[in-house]
Amino acid sequence: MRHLTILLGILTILFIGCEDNKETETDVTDELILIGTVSDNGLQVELFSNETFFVGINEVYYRLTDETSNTIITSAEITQSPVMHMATMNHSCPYTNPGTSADDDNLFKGEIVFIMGSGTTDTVDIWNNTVLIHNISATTDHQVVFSNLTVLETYMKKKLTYTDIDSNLVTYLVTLNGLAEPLVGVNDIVLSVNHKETMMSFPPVNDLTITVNPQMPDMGHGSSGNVDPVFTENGKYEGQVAFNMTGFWTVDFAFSRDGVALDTVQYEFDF
Amino acid sequence: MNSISKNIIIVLCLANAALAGQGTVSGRVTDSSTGLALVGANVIVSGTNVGAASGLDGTFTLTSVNSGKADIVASMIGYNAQHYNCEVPTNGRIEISFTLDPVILEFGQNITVIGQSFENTTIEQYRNANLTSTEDMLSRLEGVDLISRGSFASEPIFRGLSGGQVNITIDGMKCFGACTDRMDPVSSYIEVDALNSVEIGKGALALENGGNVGGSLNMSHNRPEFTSITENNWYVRSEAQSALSGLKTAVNWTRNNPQWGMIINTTIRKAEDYTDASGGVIPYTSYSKINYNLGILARLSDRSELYFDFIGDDAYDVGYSALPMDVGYAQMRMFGLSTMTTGIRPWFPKFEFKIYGNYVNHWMDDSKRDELFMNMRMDMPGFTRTVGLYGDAVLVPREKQLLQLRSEFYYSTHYAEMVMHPFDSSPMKMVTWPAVLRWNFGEYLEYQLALNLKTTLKAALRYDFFWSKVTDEMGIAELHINYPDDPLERADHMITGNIFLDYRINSNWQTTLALAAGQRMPTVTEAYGYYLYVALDGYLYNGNPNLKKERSNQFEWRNRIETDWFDLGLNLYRYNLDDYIFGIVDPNGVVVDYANGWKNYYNVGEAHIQGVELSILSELDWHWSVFGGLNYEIGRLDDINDNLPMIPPLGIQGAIKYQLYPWWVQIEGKLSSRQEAYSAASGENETADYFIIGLRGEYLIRDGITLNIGVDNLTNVNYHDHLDWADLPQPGRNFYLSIAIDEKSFNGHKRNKF
Repeated sequence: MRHLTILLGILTILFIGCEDNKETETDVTDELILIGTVSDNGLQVELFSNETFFVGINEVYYRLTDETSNTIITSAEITQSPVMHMATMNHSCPYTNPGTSADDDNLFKGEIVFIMGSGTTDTVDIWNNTVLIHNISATTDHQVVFSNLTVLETYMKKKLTYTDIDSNLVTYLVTLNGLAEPLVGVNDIVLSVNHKETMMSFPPVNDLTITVNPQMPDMGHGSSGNVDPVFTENGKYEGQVAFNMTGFWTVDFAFSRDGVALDTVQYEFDF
Repeated sequence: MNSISKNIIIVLCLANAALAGQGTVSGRVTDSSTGLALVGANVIVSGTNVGAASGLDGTFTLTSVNSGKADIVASMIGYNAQHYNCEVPTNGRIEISFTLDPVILEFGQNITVIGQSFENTTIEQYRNANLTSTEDMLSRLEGVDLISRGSFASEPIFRGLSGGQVNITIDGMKCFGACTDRMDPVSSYIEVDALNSVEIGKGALALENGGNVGGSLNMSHNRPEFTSITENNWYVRSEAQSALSGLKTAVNWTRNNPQWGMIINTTIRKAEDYTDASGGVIPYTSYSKINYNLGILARLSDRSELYFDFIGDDAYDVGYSALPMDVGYAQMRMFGLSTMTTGIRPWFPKFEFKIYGNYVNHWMDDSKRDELFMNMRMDMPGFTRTVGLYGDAVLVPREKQLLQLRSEFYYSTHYAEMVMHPFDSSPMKMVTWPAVLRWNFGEYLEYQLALNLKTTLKAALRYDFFWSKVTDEMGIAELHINYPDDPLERADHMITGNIFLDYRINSNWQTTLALAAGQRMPTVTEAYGYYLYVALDGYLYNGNPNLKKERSNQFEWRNRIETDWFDLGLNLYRYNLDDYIFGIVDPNGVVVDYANGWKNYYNVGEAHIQGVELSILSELDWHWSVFGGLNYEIGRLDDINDNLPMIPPLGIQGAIKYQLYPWWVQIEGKLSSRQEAYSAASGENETADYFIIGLRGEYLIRDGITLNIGVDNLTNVNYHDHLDWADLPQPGRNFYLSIAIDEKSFNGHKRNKF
């Protein structure tokens, strides 16, 4: 009996050992794209994303490493500032900064909603992301710039405008995610809606009611099985769009607030 | 042997009554369907103790038979007894050949089969009438009607039940049409000139070919047969039709000998758009078609054979007037290889095994249309593939008992898609049959027991297992719109059965009570079809993967009264259907310009059908005969308070024939009453009554050369049947003329002279 216990113990240790090995072998960042690595005063900042940046909601991941001690930092305040440098003007875009604690994979996860694609040359239409980092445990501040970011144009950004009760023209930026490659069947979609306060400030709009209406002009009908997007967090609304065949489709999103219609934006798909 | 020559022999026998003495009767007993020797058949002289059993080669010899008139009877369990009246010469010898018809494969209308599940109909009389098509022949059978969507390939419907409710097989082989609009029923793949027999089982009274609720139709080709001497026969028939603007030529060639046989049948049909009674040409009703089949029979031993058959069918530019588009090309190929052994043991008279495969390809086409549906071109290709096998065994466990077993398996796949081409944007593609795989394993058991001389009991039980799976990725995504997370895969068990009690009240009157419990699987269209436009009601139909099986209970009372001069059949029936599968308007369906809306298939609850079928055949004398029939039925969809769709109104058909060798003439009439009990929910409307008359006649120019001439719709009535889609008018007055040359009769004539 005692021998059996020992044997079981050894086997358990071996198994645990094996599992440990596996965990260390698979680095979560292997499945991500490294956008860039920049250092500032002994702090190495790596920026990852799921895929090449595109116009729409992009998840971004930061990993911070203390270069002197070669240790991972898991507690920091990260403030992003993506700015598009155009020939005559600069503007920012909606974004969400990561929380102050890194996740289990030591990554700080945030979001950038790019609203325009990067230029084809290195001189105009350049996206730079300036990131301020406050290392909480070391109480040091750092600033790094990820410059000349490649952002693919998807034509998924639309402007929604309406006139408010004070007769001010209000502009919302709407980006549609999930239909970059539309498929026949049900497509999960996320709309991101942000108020264009200034060229640099785009707070999320969280109080809208949205209805979706796909139509096929050649057939004169739409589809059933759609789910109107509903608010989740940070100006995001999740829903479903159903296409019952390939071809040319328009998808209309009608926005309203408290029963008052604001505007409708239309996307076109030809697949 | 045809009945006229048999009668002549009998007459000769009677005329030559002779004096007492003794003689010898010898001969051979064979299976009529295969030509193979029957071992151990009883051959007796009726009313005496003289008898013998046939040997291994099927031969028998009866000695010491009193000379003079004698009734020789050959019988064997599993076969119908056969009588032979003859004159036995004193001190002489007479040769007799018996060809016994198997009980389970009985095609003779004049022989009553105990506990029959199929109402077998000899098609000889229809072929003699030289009908144009298989459909034309089917429509003349009791309880069979046709759904017409053009002038081609009408779909047979049995007592108002069709499509997935019935099993249609060719020579026992399963085959599935590749058209989502059911433009290509399997019955269009066999031509009447190549057809040997049809077995029709109504409702769940025939389950040999699969569990069902609506019926079973098996069509058998002409086959070669073993003959004692080498025979080469050919047969040619050409036909022209006026209102149908059609031409047809059929060529059959057979070579038979004791060791092998071969048959080739070919039929070519071509028709332009037909003309209705008002003289208007009905557009998109033309077609051209070629059908060909090859059969090769080889003897393996005295009692076993190997048979290979191939069927091909190609149809081009088939117009479907009632639908928004036509068929550009439809192609079917079918292969079968079977082996049959008879007389394995006295208790095991027959075993058959068959393996088969077929494919159907179908291309819809709208390029001939002036007005395009929705102003764009569409491609709608579809195909089915089927492979299967079955084994049939007939066992005789004890005297007066018969056991029939069938084990079968098939695998099929259905795929169809639709691509629409707008003039200025991307093609629009969708999958309408999402590559649905279906496996079926079936086990059929039938038991017959003669309780006494008057009463026979027959019971049958069938078990089926089905496994269905949707495999096309795009099709799965489409179905998941309405049925999210559905596995689109299902396994079904199905048990069906029937029981017959057959009682002979007297020598003329036989009555049969039958009960059946049927079930059927939802079809590919009903379960997994997507976006299928049905022109009948103008709705777009979507399948429902969660459909339950449709079920039925059936009660039937059949009577058959046969006397010397008439033969009367009367059937009363009632079907109670449950979980009836029906399209219901989808209230959430989006608005469509070109259709009335959307329907989904549901199990809508209970439905019932009840009706009566009457048939009469009377041969008044050598010259005059009268035959006809009456069908009437009511079908109600109780749970949604509507009539069942596709229920034909009261119909009466009758014909009077006068024959005076070498010609005959026939006048026939068909009365169809007004159908007010239509199914509004299916898009049907009221259909007016009509009465049409036809004349047909035949003249035998010489043995083997027959001229047929006739006219359909003599009074040029403008009418349509209740089952015709889009109230498509039927052809107006149609004259036809055909000439047939049958080289067999030709040579037979010559041989008889020597």
